[in-house]
Amino acid sequence: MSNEQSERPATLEEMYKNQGRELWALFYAHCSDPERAQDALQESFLRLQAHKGEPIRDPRAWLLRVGRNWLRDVARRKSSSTKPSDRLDDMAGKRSIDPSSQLVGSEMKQHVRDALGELKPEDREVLVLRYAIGWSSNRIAETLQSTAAAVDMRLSRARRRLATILEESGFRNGHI
Amino acid sequence: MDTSSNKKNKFSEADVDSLLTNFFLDEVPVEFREEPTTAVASSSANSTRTAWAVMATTAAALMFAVIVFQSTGSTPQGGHDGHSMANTSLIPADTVTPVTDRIQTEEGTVEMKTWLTKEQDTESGTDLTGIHFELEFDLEPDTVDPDEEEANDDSSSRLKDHEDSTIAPDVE
Repeated sequence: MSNEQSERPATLEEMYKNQGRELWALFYAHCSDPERAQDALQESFLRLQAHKGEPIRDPRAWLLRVGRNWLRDVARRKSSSTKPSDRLDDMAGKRSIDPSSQLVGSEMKQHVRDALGELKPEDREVLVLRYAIGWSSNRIAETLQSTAAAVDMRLSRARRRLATILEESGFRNGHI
Repeated sequence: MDTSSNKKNKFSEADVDSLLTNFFLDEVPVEFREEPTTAVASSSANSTRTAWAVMATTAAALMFAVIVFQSTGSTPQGGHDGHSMANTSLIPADTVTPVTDRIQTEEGTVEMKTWLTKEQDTESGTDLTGIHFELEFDLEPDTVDPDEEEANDDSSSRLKDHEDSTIAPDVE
């Protein structure tokens, strides 16, 4: 009995270590907010730890579903009040080099986040997996149950769409 | 029509590629910036991280130095504890892939690799776990000071002590 209790947290920790990065990226692709994605990750693992029902056959899929549901709930509750405070938190948490450049950098980042948020979820997902965690097309294809060629096409389309969104929103080339 | 400003606002795919690469450098939490390696026994990894975080702060003035500690080689041959290299054989198949962490200090970056190896005392047949550290300091050049280098040597030996103390028989 004590063996089971002492082994389970280790398994969770291994899962967090091995899958946390990918899950964070997929949550980020859902909300375009790094801190909220991390909250979703922690929330899903806490719920997995507290889970007492039937054994979970596919913990990764379970974590992904729980995290995404949590993000949806949070988005419903906080839809009108998070953006300004998020920006303030963002600025407050950074190294203090130059307040004005920090403000500009923070606004630029928010601009890119907003642009990412306007993409189709599947386009955003491939961009995040490629650029946030550096996955190859083959690996993305494995995760999304697709082919490397299809992933490359989707990446290219997503980049072009993002370029259009940035151009239309007045974002100037060379800002970041 | 201001064609020059229009041209400046045009984004190519390569521009977006570069923009996203730079954007995500800061956007990804530090703990997820590197690909995870094979899982390491959690208690060992945590205690190791704590130890190296203390070390990194203490030795922050050392520039571009690489210090390698290997628990397998830390006991002199014929040592009094009976775990000398003569009696110990390394089992490479059980070497766990290093876990790499980085700490950003005001003086620069400190990178630590930690990994485990399984060893066996050939006399008693006892399984041992070796914990290995590799610290790399990439710090500002104006902080080098011979006195601080000495201080670092002291702390190095402290780490070595810590390392030796973590060698323990495996729990079957």
